[in-house]
Amino acid sequence: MQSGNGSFEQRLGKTEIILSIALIAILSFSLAPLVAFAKNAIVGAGHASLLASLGSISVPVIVRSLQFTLLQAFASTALAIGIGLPGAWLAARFRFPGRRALLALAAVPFCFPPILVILAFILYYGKEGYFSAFLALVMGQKNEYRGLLYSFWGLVLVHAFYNFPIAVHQISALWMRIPESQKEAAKTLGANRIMAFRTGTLPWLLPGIAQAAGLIFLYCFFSFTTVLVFGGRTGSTLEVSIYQALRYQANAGLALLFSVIETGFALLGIWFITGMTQKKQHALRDFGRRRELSSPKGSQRVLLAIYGILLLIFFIGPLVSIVVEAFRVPASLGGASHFGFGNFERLLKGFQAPLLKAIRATLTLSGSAALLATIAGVIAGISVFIGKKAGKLHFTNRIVEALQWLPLAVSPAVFAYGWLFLSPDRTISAALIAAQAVIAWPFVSRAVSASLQSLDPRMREAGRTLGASPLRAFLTIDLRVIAPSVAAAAAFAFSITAGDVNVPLMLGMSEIETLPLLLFRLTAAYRFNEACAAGLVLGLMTGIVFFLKEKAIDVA
Amino acid sequence: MMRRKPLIAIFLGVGAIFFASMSLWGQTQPSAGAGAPELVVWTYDSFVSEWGPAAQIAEGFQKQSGAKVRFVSKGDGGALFSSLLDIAKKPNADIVIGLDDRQLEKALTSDLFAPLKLVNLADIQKDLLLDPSNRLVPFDFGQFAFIWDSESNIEPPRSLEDLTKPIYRKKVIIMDPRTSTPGLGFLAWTQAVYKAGWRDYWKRLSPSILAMTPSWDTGYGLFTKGEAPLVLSYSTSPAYHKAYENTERYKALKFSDGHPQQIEFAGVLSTSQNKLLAQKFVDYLLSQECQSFLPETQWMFPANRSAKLPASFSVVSKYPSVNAKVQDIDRDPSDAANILISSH
Amino acid sequence: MSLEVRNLEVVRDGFVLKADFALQDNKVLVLLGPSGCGKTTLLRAIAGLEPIKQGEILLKGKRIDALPTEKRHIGFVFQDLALFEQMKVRDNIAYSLQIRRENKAHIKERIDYLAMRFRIDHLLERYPSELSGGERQRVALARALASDPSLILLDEPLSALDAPLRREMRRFMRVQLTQGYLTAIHVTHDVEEAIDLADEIIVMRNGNMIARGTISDLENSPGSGWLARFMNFGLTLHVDAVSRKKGANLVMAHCKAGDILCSAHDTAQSAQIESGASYCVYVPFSSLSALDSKKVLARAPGGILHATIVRCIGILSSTMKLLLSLSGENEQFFEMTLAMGGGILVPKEGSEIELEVDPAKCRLLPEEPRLPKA
Repeated sequence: MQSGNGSFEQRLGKTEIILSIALIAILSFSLAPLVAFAKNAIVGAGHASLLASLGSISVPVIVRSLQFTLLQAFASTALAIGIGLPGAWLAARFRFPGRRALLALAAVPFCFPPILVILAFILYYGKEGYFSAFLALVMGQKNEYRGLLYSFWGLVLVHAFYNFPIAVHQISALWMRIPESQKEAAKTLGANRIMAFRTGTLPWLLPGIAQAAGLIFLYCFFSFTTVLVFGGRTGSTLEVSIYQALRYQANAGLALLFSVIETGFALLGIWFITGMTQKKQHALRDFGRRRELSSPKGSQRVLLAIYGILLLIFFIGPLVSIVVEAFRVPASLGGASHFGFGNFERLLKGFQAPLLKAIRATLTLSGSAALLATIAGVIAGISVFIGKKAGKLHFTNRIVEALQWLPLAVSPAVFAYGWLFLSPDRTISAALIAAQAVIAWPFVSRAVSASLQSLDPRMREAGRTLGASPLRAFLTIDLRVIAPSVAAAAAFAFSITAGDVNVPLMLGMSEIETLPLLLFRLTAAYRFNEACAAGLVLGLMTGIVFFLKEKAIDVA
Repeated sequence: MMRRKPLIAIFLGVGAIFFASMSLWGQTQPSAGAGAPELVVWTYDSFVSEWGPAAQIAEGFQKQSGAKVRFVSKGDGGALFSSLLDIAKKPNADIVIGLDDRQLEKALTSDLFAPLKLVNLADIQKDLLLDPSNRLVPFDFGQFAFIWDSESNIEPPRSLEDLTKPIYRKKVIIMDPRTSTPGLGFLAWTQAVYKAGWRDYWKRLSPSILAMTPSWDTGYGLFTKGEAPLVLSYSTSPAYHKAYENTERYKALKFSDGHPQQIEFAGVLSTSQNKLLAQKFVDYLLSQECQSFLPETQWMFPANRSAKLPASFSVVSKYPSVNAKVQDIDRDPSDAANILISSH
Repeated sequence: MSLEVRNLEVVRDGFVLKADFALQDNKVLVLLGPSGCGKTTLLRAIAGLEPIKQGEILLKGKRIDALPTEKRHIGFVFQDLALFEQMKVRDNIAYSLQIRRENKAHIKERIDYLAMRFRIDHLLERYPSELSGGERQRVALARALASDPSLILLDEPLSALDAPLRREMRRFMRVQLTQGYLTAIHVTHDVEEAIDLADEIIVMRNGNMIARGTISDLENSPGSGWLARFMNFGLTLHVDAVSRKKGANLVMAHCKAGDILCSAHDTAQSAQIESGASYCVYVPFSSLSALDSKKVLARAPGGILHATIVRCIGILSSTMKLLLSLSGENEQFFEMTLAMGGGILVPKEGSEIELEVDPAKCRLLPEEPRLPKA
């Protein structure tokens, strides 16, 4: 802001005070559960404290858990990038039917809870699944295919398929912006195709790949449900170890130890990602123009077709099988399996019919959590933006920016139990709402500040020169720009909280059964068809975001 | 530059969710309604499952007393026990069904349960009454055994030691001793047979284990889906297949080591606001009426001597028993699970 | 001939580019045209960056159109320069030499020579992001020349620079191209740049080469009204009718601004002119001179144009630039530079001025360029 803009400065000052108060509220909202958890874990309240249980902690168990966590996360990331890269290349280069759909898949990891995808994979890749049946058909006999699931590679496969769309979306967006001239320059200087790619494209692509990989790595690093369902005895991630320490060993001290280690490594990952993001932005600063897409020719078409078919078989197939299985009523006494609404009926009419209650509970709890997250996120997002615009990176602003990474750095178990310790009557539903809101608000805040930043400041300035007061300019220009992303982010927050099974599981919540919990229980009990019916309901609910397409994906 | 209609729709949607939340808030709060008393029962998965006894019990008890019963599943028995001992919150149930004899000692020292005066206690088999204070009372029992799929083309094992043979590589499903009572029972079984050498046995057993599932439901589900030919369960399990599928394909294997017994207990929490009604409920659980449908819903032997066994139990044989306790219930389950995880 | 492009045709997304020309050794050819005319596409086709539909490209007598880019050995300077940001300046310049596996001593020698010639010896250890616009320009040029290509192609490399630097770089490049005996094709849409750099100019429009020659060739006979306007050579006045004069090639063109005598030897028959095709009189600025008001009676043979002085733009010690509005024509504004002194007073804004036209330089031209026959 230029000087001689006194009134604006003054107003900014006032706004800043109000925002600072709001920020402190958000700050305590996010950090209080951590403090409460740490305090209870260290001091102990009617249970083993950290000091008391220190002696019983087995170092090899911790080391093994860490090793396994890292190993599976590395393998999953490598595979996800491996699957995603060809897709990113195709989407960045060619115009083809389904291109937008391929990019829109990036919403899958955010819109569809892991438990749903796990269910899909069991249905599809399990021993009795469609894929196995297809293999048997091709091989001509019932071979010894045991299914990949319930093994390390099964876990990695699920992680990879769950996360690869992120790689496709992020890398292709970057790839499209890398100008051809770098590669062409190398060619005119005598480099062959490979060499030209290495000189002209790869250096720009690598930070983007690394950034996507870092993000996927973090998601896999914190993987919980998948490991809980598939991991069995394959290994236990830190997240699962925290869960076990809390739920089965009543040992908050051990849980704290695990979560501190987890957070330490996650921070390393975040440091890496932010570094790569900066590097990417630094490199991309001059590249304004997007590349034009071309129509695929000859062999490129073949590649495209192969990739499409593989995706259909390995990724879309499982998702579709949920829909099919939801309506397939399994064979029971005196009847063959048939299609109908039987599974839904059983969930709606049977003993202690869970479906309606679960829908209600999910709407109530996630709705509240999403609302809380949206309010906190909008305030945080606007304040981060104002802080940046004013050029003075206020201390609170910096903290809020850092806090946005919190859900990627701290186990949901810590938030959940922290809030449980804080809530007056140890009310689970209150702890759940608060913990889920803490996890969801950074998504809203990031969306808001990003959309504010994407707004050309000249638009605001034009508004001012045309006679609008700063407040009016903000209301008529800024607010209109952020409104769609706030709405998308709110829907998105609802999606992640509604699909979240981690916090309820961590809390051992079962008096109130949400849809993902119901899904988890039905899946664990091998009532797959009913699970699919419940999953379909959940998928429709969380899939709202999917229909908001680009906006929502940008939030993600 | 922007489409207004979807925007409005989104806002309306968010608003609707918000108001739905507010209006439904009360309904999800546990036992908020005044009216008729409602008993809350914490139990494990299979008890409330489709074919489990919960629905019948609720119906029967409501007929008898007019009171409603709500069952809450807490996972398998191990998870159920953990929920009772949660560090952050007190259990808000009236009744707990499904702790077993291995958890009994720790459960009784926790002071969670109130002593009960029950009419039907007189009919209960005397050898099952392990708690003289009658805070936890037995309602059924069974024997652990491995179930073998006779159509699997694999030789049935004859002992725990046989399970470690290379031919059973990835052929056995057991349950997690931390989260499930059958898993805990299996741990006790190996401790009874191998004494101090149990850890070594678990290491040798490791290659044979296809999966260590968090609950019996999951493990048995995996087994019936054909993922493995051997699963840890009960000697009474074949009765289920006899009754529902009229098949004797799945057989309970007799092991030379003997078979540990599992007794399942129920109790009333001392924090319950409806202790008398809860006591009536437990009495009903032990009654002849209730006990006579337990065999074909729980697939266990009834604790009440006067309850008759159904025809399907003709396929169940009683095996020589072995007394099996867990040496250190706080440490050993985790140790055992970690042996399987790390030796993978 | 260094480069020969024969019958070339490039088709890209419905856009058709046709080209046929040759370029002598040590000459600088400028491809000039408005954006979207295909000049960059032509350059890229020569470099092998754009697939060609038909035609031949010969470099030093050898066919290169089937070779991949990296085998053509043509230097290329891109519009965005495309410096390798991850490499130091030294490695950027050495790139083509290293790929050709030249020996280290030779590479060093060559880099030192180029660095000295392009005055970038102090920048060798820096990264491109640390350079100014002009420095980046020189590095890009040095890199393109490192392996001594037989042809160098420049795709509007100066477009990103601001005016004074662009002028300086233009001179610098002309000096380098001349002293280095380089054969080059330079693409630009800037007429001034073309005039400064070119030995020869090819003007392109809509994928076709519409004119070719030295700058004075083009000024003498631009071939179309469009080109005269594009190059800002002179006035183009719409012709309502013509009447034949006694000389074989001279016609009297009747325009709204007045009657102008001009030669018609490079246009079609007057019969055709009358049939309605759009024609104009090209009056080069060099053919106009201010008429001394005292000599009004001595009527100029070529015709007289009346103009209103809108504004006197710049007054240097010896010249004056006037913004004029042509009477009779709708909104025809143009600039004219007058020599000062000799009794000419600074004219008043709003006053009229009479301009004498030299008929020898005026041409009757079609409005639109005539395309070469396919």
